[in-house]
Amino acid sequence: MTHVSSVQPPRVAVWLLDLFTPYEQTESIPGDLLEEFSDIASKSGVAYARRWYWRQSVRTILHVVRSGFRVAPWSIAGAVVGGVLLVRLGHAFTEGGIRTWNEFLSHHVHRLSHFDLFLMNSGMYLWRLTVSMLIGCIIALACKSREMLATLTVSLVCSIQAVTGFWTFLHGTDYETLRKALLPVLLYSFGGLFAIVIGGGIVRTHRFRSLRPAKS
Amino acid sequence: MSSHEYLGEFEHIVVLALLRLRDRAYGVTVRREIEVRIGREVSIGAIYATLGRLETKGYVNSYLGDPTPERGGRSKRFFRVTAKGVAAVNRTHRALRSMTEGLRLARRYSQ
Repeated sequence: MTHVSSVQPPRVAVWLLDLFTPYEQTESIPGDLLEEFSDIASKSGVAYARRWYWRQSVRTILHVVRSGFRVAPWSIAGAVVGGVLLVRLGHAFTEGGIRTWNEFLSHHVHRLSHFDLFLMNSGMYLWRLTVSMLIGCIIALACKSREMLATLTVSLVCSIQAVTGFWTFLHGTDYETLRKALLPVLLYSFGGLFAIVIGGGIVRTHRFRSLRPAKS
Repeated sequence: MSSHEYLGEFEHIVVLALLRLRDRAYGVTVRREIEVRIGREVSIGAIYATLGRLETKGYVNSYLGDPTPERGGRSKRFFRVTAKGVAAVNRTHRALRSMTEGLRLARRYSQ
């Protein structure tokens, strides 16, 4: 019995559940699942209990997402519209800035340092990822308790544009260029989408950690 | 909120589980009660989404218990059916009885 009670549920499932659970249920939902997990592990074995925990977590997350859209449709819609505009503006400004900086370097600086060369080659990707993550953080800050739902929706809406752009690239490029540029283009098109969700996850995790000690 | 509102199918099941469990009604016991009585495996998320909706409508209320070690130091959230909730159950039962009265369901659908 001591052995079973020391068994922990799958960490990734617990982490995902913590990301999506509304604040008012951060005590009850994970607590209920942990209680049942320990009980099932002692009766049916740890492997079965882990599968049960995964199944419950995924179904619970789907329910939380669905009820989030039902309970607060306007705040989610507002966050998505604002978020998509922020993404577009943020990318347009930073990419314009990086291009201007690269042109300045190539015209006025004769001996470029390694750092300058690194920025000229990878600056655009890094900026895009950083700006996307910051935008994810802003969206999450505006959507208390529904950070992941808002950032995931913004990311999904923006993915339509990313998929269209990638499709155009695939059809308008010869094989040799495609082979060389596929990975950078994939990173450029879809990396930002993940960064938005990661930004949401950072804010959510920070909020969740600051909330837990106060209650327990 | 209309005073003639009926409970949905799953809302109805959850409220009946709360009434059966009395002061022992929280996520785990409600889930098990439903599973044992009607053989339907439901997720804890579905239970809480429904209880949240019922609480907004004023059909149930909730309070937090003490944190326990087997729950990783987390508290149980206990639920109770309010007088308004009991009235909604009765209204739904009356409506179902009126609709099924005179129907020979067993003979008709067993053919």
